[in-house]
Amino acid sequence: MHLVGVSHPIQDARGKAAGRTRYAADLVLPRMAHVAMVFSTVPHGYVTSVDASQALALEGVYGVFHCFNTPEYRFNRYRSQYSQTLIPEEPVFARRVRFVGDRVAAVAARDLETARRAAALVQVEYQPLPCALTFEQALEGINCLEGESPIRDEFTMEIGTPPSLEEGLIAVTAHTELGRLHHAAMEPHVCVADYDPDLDELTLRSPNQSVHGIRTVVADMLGMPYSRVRVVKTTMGGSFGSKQEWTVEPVAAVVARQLRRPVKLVYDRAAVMRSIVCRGPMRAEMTMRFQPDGTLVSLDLDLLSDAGGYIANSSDYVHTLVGKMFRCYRIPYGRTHVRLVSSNTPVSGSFRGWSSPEVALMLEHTMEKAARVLDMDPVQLRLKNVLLPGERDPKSGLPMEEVRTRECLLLGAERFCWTEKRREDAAFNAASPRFRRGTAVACGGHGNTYYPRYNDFAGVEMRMCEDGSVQVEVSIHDHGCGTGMAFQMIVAEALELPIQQIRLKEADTAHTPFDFGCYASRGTFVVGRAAQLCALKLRDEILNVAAQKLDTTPDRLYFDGPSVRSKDSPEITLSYKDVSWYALGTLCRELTAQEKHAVRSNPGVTGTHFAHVEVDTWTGLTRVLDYLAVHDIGQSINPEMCAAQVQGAVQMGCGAALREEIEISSNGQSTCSLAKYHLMNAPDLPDIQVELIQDGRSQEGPYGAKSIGEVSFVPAAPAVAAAVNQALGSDMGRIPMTPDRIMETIAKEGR
Amino acid sequence: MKLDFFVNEEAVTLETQPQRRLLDILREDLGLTGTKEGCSEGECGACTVLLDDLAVHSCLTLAAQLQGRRVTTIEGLEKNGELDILQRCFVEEIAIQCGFCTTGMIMSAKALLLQNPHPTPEEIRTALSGNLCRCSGYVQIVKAVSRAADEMGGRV
Amino acid sequence: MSTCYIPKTVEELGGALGHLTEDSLILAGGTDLVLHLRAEHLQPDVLLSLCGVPQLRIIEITSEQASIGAMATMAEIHKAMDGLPDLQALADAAGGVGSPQIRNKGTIGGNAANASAAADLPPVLWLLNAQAEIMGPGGVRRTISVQELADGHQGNTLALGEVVLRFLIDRTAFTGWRSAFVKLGHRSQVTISRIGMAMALLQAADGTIQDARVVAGAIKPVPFPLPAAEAILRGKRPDPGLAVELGETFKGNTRRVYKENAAKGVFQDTLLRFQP
Repeated sequence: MHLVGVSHPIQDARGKAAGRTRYAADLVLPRMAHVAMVFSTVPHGYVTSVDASQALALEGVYGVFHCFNTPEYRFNRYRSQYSQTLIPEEPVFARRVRFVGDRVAAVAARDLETARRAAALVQVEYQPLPCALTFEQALEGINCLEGESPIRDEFTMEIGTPPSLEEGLIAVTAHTELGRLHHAAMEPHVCVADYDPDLDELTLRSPNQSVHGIRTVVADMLGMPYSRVRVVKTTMGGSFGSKQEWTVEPVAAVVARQLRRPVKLVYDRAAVMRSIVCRGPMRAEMTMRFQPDGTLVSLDLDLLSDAGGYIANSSDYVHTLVGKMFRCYRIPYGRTHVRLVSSNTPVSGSFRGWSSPEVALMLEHTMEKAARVLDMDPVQLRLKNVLLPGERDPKSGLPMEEVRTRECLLLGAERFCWTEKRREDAAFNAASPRFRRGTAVACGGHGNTYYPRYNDFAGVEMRMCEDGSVQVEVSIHDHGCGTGMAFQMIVAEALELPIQQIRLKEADTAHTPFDFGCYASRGTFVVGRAAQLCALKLRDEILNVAAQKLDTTPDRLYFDGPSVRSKDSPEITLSYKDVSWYALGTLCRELTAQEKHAVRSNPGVTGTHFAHVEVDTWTGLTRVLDYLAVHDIGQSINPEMCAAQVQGAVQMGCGAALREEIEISSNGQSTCSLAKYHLMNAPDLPDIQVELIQDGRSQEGPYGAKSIGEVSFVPAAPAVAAAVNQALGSDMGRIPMTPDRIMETIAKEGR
Repeated sequence: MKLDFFVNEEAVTLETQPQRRLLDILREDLGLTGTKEGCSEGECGACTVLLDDLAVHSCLTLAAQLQGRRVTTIEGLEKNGELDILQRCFVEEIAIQCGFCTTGMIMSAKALLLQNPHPTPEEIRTALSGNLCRCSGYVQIVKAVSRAADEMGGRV
Repeated sequence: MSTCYIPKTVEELGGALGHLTEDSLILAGGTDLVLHLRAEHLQPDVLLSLCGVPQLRIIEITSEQASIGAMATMAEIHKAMDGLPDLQALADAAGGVGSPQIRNKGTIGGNAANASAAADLPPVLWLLNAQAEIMGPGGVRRTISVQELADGHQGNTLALGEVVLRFLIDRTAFTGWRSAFVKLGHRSQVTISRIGMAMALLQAADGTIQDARVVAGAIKPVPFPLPAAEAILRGKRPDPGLAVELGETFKGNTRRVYKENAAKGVFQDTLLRFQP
């Protein structure tokens, strides 16, 4: 391999550095209107009237749209596949508002400033309804109307065989609670919609994770043929799951159609934090039972989850969580009881890792406690219980293949100087009256596709240009981590072409093949494999055409760089250009290939993180002193980008463990400013170390690749949280471990 | 008001509102969309530009503060089709992912190197403390600035 | 539509102040005002920008006095004061406000006049008994103490058409003193203060504290002195071990349990700044 495994700047790095790359908010269309939203100011209630007269009186206002003057279009923000039968629970403009930030009206004007001013002039009256803002209030059902139940989903799932004998087993129970998280993609949510009333065609441009998903939702909502709705994925300034659910696109589509003008809808940060989606809160009790030697025998999980204002994906999310529980450790028997409630708070939804990080926090918190109860070294306890090559995921039944968690633990413990650090911490803590240090480890697993929960496939098309360069049509949705470059590398590797010879654009329903979207970490593993297979098919096609030109058979030919040579006549060299010209000029056809790949595996992919922290027991502030992330990645396509993604996941995990939380005030207002939602910034992070273990190759991924984007986030918060507990000798299960919570714990438990 | 100021070394005259934000003037009136809006409240740093060679938030700067002053945006760094050393180092050190923080990050780094041509990694982290990146752990970004400083060898 | 005044001299400023009404806004660095302007969709009749008067930006330090123009930025103040023992607290506070971008625009005048409870400069200005020189319509001047500048409700006592021209610190009152400011926030940098601690000590050659001043910020609407802490410090050396006892002086001053407990940590970090 000459390209795969060698680090490359991503495809648009130069344009981004120059400030030339265009994001959706940078687009301008003729006659374009700018849209500003009016959001609910009450957590639960009926909109009884909307008075837009003052807004409409402003010069330059084109229209105000709300539930009393616009057809009731409904959709389900989570629907990303045509086959999902989800209730269209969410109206574009709500009559019954379900949280502060629910959409009430949209104002379109000649410029954003005018639209914003007009939006502030729209008078909305509400008839308030009782609201639930906490788990307790939601469980009581105080926000339920007639016919509604406080429990929106409940199920029990058992996997494996229960232990025949409880006797002699050591049970460890831990309580874990997670607050709401903001994705904090730096680019706010945007959609530019353009409606052509003469052709009845709608074009939507937005940074999103599934162009076909949006098409399904918007076309069905508006009753338009799918073929007349074009969705184009624009350069995405980060997503982390927040651009996997559709909130701005349906609104922009409706307003553009009503107005018969192109419109641009940009949410500001406050609106993104309040009104798009957050990672929802969860409360869990987990019991693990061990044999005295530390072998995990069984596990019980009782989980309560809050969907927020709309159910959206929350029911699916908690079902998924059960499966994610079995992706790292050998759990002979697991029993899960899950309840889902719906409060009047921001909507819970997709977040990087899709429940793997949540369940990892529960697992690792319990595991950490178990290590203390069993008096075992945390690394040793994990070594005893991690899934090994040849074992299967008991939930899906699929082989874990060449999983390398064991190797991650061993390599990480050595590189992080685990034993020495733990010893030094003890000495430091004995000597320091104020600061406490702790070193901890956490493992976590994820998937590479949603198979076998649903069938998963991808299609790719390629054509060779007259000069031998190649155009690729594939529906990728680059989140900003260089999927485009990774795919160019995969294709260039297969065709033995330089990267510049491969042109590959992002998803556009008008041009690129059907695809489910870039989520579930399926981008490289599934779609990337399809691209590799398609390139191999194009190679065959090149050989076929070359054989016809040379009047021989393909088996007498071979590739030598980007050219074809003959085994029989060493002097013959055909460039791709020669082959392409022959195909076009003589055979009257273009050199093309079309391939699909339906995935049949989902190998184990895990990460093991090591964190070293120092807690100031006088102020409750925690400093991350040192951090190492070791990942079982299979073949990394673009290694430095993988490392950068892992470091980003660690940044996010440190934030989730220590300070990031959307809080809900007693009147239902949620944190909606980055001044109050504290991301980790440059001075607060150490030089995060990354090790990639690359010999645990997958059978199906391109060149043996496995996923990295989501799994990298899975063990991060658990590692930091465990290090804090190790430092304090505490058993905090609530993240984020803010200074206030740490001080409360110290006051309660002493240290 | 009539506003006379300089953008990327060119004299610009505009008829505008005194409370119009520099960010909107750049992006909407002058078409310089390399400057990004990430939070509208001076917290994320994506809109950072140089005002008389100092890093400032263009989202918190009004037309009424710009009379006669020099603004440098990301578009002003590239000279004759060649990226500034900082821009090139960001590309080569793999310091760019989604790119939305990148231009602001580079402008903050530029301001740092104008004042302190040989910064330590700690000084770089402080200079970038007002620029949030959600994709990375800042490792490559700090490396890129460090390398740019080395390559410039004190020249700015 | 607003009328915009951008005076170029103090005299022009005096004239412009006469045009201000209740609906007018005065623009200094803008780091707070712009947020307010946008959130409230304000349409001021007059916007008076102070950024065109070079004199308001002057920082002048002599052995007797420090004069800091109201439009001096945090970055400029940090640079000018850093290393001057008696004024170090001002350098610390200005150098720790917000991010570099905020420090390049945010001004001392704005920070003090805006009078947010969490503002970092007021506790230091109180610590150093700073005076504020004020100008009103027509150029009329008066000087008040910074304590009188605050109205006690996170606002200021300036009358319509008044602005602060500069702050004055009498350095002769602090000959031989050292000062420091430490803040506690949610992260190490770019954070809003939860506690701001301004301390000034006059020490004998052997380190013994002869006199002490302590002012805390971000606890109440206005900074407040801690005479009990000052009493503890007098006659002792600035031993970080005193922090526990000093922390006790916070009791009763805040209803936030967290702040009450965390005070000792901030005291210790402040004392560490006075180590030889």
